[in-house]
Amino acid sequence: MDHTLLSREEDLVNNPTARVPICLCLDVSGSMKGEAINELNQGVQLFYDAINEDEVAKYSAEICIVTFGGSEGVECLADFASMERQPVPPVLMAVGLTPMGEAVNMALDLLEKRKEEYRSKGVDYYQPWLVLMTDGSPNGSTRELERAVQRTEELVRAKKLTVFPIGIGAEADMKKLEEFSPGRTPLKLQGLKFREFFTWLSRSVSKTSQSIPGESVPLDLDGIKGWGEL
Amino acid sequence: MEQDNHKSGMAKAALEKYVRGYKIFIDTCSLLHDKADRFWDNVRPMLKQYQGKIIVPLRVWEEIEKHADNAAKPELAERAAHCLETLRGLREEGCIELRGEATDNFADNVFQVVFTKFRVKYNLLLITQDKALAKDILAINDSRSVKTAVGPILVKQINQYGFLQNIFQINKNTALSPNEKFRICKEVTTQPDTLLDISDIPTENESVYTADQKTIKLTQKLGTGGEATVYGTDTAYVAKIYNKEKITIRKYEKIKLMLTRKIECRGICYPTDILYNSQGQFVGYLMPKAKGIELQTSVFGPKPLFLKKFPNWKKKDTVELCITILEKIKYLHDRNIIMGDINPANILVVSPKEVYFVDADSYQIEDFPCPVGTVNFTAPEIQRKHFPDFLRTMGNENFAIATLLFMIMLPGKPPYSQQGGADPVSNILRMDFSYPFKENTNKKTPEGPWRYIWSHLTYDLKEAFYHTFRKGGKNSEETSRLSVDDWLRLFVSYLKFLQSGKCGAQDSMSEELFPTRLKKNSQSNPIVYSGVCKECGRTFTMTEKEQEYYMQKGLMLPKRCPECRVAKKNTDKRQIDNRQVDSRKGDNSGTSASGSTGGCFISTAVCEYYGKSDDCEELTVLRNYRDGWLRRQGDGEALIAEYYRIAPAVVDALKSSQKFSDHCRTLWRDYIQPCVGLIRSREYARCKELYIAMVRYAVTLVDNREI
Repeated sequence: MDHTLLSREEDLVNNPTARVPICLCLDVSGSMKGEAINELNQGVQLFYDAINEDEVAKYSAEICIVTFGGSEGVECLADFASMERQPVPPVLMAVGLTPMGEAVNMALDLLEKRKEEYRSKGVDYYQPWLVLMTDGSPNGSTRELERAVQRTEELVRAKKLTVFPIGIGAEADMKKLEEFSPGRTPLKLQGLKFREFFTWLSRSVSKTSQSIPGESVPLDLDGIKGWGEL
Repeated sequence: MEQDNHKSGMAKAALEKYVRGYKIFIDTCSLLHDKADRFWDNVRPMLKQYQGKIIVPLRVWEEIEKHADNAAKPELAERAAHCLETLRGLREEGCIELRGEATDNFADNVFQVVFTKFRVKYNLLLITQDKALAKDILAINDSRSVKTAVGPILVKQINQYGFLQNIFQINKNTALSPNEKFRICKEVTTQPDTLLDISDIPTENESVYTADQKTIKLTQKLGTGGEATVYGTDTAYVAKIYNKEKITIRKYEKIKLMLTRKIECRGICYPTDILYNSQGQFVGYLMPKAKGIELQTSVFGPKPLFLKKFPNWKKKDTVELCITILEKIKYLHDRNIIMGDINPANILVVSPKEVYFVDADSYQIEDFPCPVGTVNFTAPEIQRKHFPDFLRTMGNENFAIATLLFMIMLPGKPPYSQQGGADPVSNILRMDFSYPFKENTNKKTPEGPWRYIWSHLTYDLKEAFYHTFRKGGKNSEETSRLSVDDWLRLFVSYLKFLQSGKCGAQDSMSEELFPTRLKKNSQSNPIVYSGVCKECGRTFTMTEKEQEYYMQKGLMLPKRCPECRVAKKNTDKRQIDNRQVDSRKGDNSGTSASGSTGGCFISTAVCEYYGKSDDCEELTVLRNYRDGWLRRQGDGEALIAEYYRIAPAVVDALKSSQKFSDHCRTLWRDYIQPCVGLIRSREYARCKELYIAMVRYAVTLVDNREI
């Protein structure tokens, strides 16, 4: 990180816009190798570009990326910050296992930490979003996985988190994903249509960032039909 | 033309009625009014016809004589001389009558005494241009519930046609006739939100039609929203064409109602014509074209975005922007239009002087509610209510205005964002406003530049925001919030303060949009001023904070060192005490203006009643005003002297009154507090008027034995 602590702090407090913290929790295990990881990289890039183009969303969205798989197991590739501080997404590499539980726990920890920062500095925020993408079955610690499911469920029921669980390809464990998503069926990506999904996601961010925190924004679920199958 | 004839006929008939049925009095300013001659031309034949006489008090005559001799003001002297000549002529013709007694007090007081005395016996009418006097005379009408055989006292002023008109218009700020305004309603319309059956929604390159069959061509698409699409047209206006599923009976009826009044204010994109499709079905409306950038993506954005859009802006520009916006809101409020959904996406900014309001079709008009709104701009008393189901009040609207102004001054930051805050709805409901005022702070002010920006605002503005947003503040309730006029006054005086350079002289960072530190203040307390004491000759110094105190209150800097100031205050106090003792003995000889550095008798008495010390803030402000400003005015010394002549006896009478506490409350609420407020906002001349009115009021109490 080439940013000093001060600039992180300034980034946080100088901006009056209410924030939408979004955590992308992405599967980069070995099975994603090849076309899948390329498409995912391009999708994430597109997501960043679309948000950068929207003047309201640009100063509202804060994106954090947690990957599972990779050489480190679970890794935070980008911590929450405005698009100004991190305008370009990290490049994802596909290798390793699928410790999904550990990754979701890390994502939730990071979201909690960020919310606490908002509160302590007096920054308004929307309830965070968690995008969980996988092409397989979790194979990390079972205890961690159970803990992750339970935490997510509680937060969603208390309306403190919006989860978008996305299954990629035929091998995705939709049952497990369903456990992370009380009340909403997880979505299965048609083929590798990451771009369509991320375009929709950025539009939803724009819409939300123009509403007022605390107001419920009806998510445009119609938009999902183009890329998902239920 | 016909209408003018009709109007002048009515004015004539009214004047004739007064001449026949009223004892008419006239005051100095009316006699010196530049349409006075025209008035005499109008009234003279009637007076002759009905043998009426207009009464001119002797004191008024004398005042005019005095003006005629005033070499310092040749223009006034000339007018007064002309007036005397006219009056002499009128007197010879038997059209006026001079009345008075040697014991008469000053002219305005004569009216008070005479009107109070004769109101039960005659129909009385006073012609004056002076609103303060008018208010006092009209107040006699409600002062006691005397059953009279005659009507209430009338007060009129001379208008430009030389006829009489009410001195107070129904709306005191604008001379709007009732048919220019919308009604104020209590119940939501019964017009249903059912969809109209529309066969076809016109789009680019198609035509729409106005009610009078003009064809308008839709050109390029300018913008699309959830509700409608806006098109350019082959006229100077743009067309808003609703989506099919948004066209309801209620919407159609509302737009029709909106068009019944002429709303023409530059920058307000109000409907000008209803638009129909080729089948004659309602599809939208025509409106002036808006320009500029949304507040949302400029002033309300973070600093880099703000400065990208408006690179050269300083504090004075945001203050001016507030004034421009407030003037437009005032235009709407004067016509009983409530904007309702005030928010940063429907105000577009070109420059501090040029602003456009869009989405006018959502305004609340009569019983048609504004069906939308956002949390931040929604007052606590209507949070969580469903917007289409109720009518907003002016008090609700004033909360939105205060929020908008706050978010312009602290660019983009909502007033209730705070450390440890909950969601915005709860924050607003709790009204735990976190910015500090005086010694008060909940220590939850958001981090970052916000507290710096806040600290650089003027005292008056901080006070206004604090009392509006803080629970229990004096402007914190629906009915007590500041109005658009109140805010305009504050911002106009802020702008003057910035433009005069006085603000920058205190701290040049106050002129910047984003100060990087607190305003220079007591913490460092640098010495910024040194003077030589006019009593003891020693040099004395002032800190920044002390100086700011004087400057913010618009006071002159002290001429004495602190020790001599204290010593002087004590002597002055003794002098007052002595004077009050003297007056009780019935000996007023010692109370000349020479000892006038002392108290403000009436105010002192009232402050005493409220347990305030002699050096309390109010009395200090009043004294400084008297010695710093009033005394320097042409009639200042004379007024002060007169005051010292009258006041001690008045105070004595008040204090021995059984209704002393009632009087103190009235004096405090209606006069002293407002006077202090006026001094703080540097409206010295108005303060003078009000203080004179207070003395007059107190004198009337005594004269009428109302105590």
